Amino acid sequence: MDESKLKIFLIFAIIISLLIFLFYILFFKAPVLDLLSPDISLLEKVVSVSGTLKDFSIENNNLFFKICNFSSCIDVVYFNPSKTNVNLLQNSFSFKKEIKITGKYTLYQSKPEIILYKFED
Amino acid sequence: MIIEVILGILTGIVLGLIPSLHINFVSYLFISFSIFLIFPNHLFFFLSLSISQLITNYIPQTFFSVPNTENIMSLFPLHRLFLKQQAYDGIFLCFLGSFFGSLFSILLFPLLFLFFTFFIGFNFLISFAIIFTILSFIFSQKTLKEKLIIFLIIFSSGILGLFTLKYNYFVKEPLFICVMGLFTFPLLLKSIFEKNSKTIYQKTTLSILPSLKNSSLYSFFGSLASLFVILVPSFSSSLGAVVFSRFKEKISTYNYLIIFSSISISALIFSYFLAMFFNKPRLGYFAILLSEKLVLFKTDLVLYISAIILTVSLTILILLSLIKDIILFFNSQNLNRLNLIVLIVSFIFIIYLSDFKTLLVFFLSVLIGFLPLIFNKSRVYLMGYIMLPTLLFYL
Repeated sequence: MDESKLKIFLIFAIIISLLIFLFYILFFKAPVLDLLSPDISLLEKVVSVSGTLKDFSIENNNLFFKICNFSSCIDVVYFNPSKTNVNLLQNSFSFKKEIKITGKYTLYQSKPEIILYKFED
Repeated sequence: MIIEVILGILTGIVLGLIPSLHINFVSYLFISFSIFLIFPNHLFFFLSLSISQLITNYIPQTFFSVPNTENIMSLFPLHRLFLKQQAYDGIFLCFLGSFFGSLFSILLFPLLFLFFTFFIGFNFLISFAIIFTILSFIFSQKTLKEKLIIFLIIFSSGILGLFTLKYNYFVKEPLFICVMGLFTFPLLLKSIFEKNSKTIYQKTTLSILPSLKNSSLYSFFGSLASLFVILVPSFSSSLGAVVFSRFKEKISTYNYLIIFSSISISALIFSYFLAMFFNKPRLGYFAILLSEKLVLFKTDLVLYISAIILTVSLTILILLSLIKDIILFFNSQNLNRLNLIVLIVSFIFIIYLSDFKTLLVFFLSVLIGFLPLIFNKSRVYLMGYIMLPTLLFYL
């Protein structure tokens, strides 16, 4: 197996991996968690939640807030967010804009919470 | 996410070309200077960085004989090919092993999942594997004197391992310091002070053409071996190398390199996988990542696989286009002078990480590292440094 043959394999592998990336971005949709009647079977899975933000705070470079649908809320933690992302979320919080977050639905000290992965306004 | 992967590849290539720079030390620096915060998906950045750094590191390994904890064992055949002006062959074989090894390791994920689920808690198997390896090292020697020498090397490096890894109360970054002392410095010092050392001009064309069947078969063996050895904490690819070194005489140097590079890349990929599914990292720097709560989500497995394929392929493609220029550069340089620069740079890293007590441990490890060179034995036996503490942990 010479260099040129290996290069063909490599280029083929690069194309395949880029296609996987593309298909994942286009077709993967996280299940929606309804805050009014949370589905326990979604625990430890990646879910998306829509709502407005409450109790916004930053501690040790981690962002903590609640995302609410009327009075039903769930805690959200965002580890090491960038300054831009903090500003965007702060903006949504200040103007009570509804946002959609995607993250891991998990339990922390027996309390449900979401570890934020990404968000969209 | 693709941008993070590409940036990780480029950073990994640059860092991988620096001899003696270990990924643990890189992650330590990254956290110190908060570089992780720049990248929102920094886990993918770090995944691609660590993979490309591992692959690129075969180049300085070949020219400077500088190993790290993941690839100590592949150093010896690489250096042998370097002495035969076949550095390019050695590096090319490592690229082949890394490419096919990464593909096979992905295919072996389901088996790894089953293995880890089944064997978790079977500590006696780990102890047995280590005892068997140590005894085979000693009793494979022909004379009593040779047996005693091997025992001395394993025992002295093992005691050093016990006091720096198991009962460590005073040494900072012991693994990095001791690996430098045991493996890197003795060989660099020896090559610098050897009077008959001269520039060995390396060929820029391939002398051997391994077949596709051969490359994929031995890469598969490497991934399979890695599947077993990843179950032993703290050993990663090194234990695979130790086990395979027992069969070294039976396989050629070329196939040996394919197996080792495959073991190294598979161990790294498996380590990330185990962190995702079991929260059990098997390589040091993952502990740092986990402590920062940057674990991958299980649903990201597809992205994780494509990031691996993209990283491995793109890294090798870039390196293949650079390798001939790198070899020509080394051919035009006085390697002794470069060795001296590497020695000084490595020592600066050590000073950065050390205090007075750590420096003492470093000098002690250099002395122990000279033992195999003095007695003309393989430096594989210095792996007692990791084997003995791991054995006592599981007994």
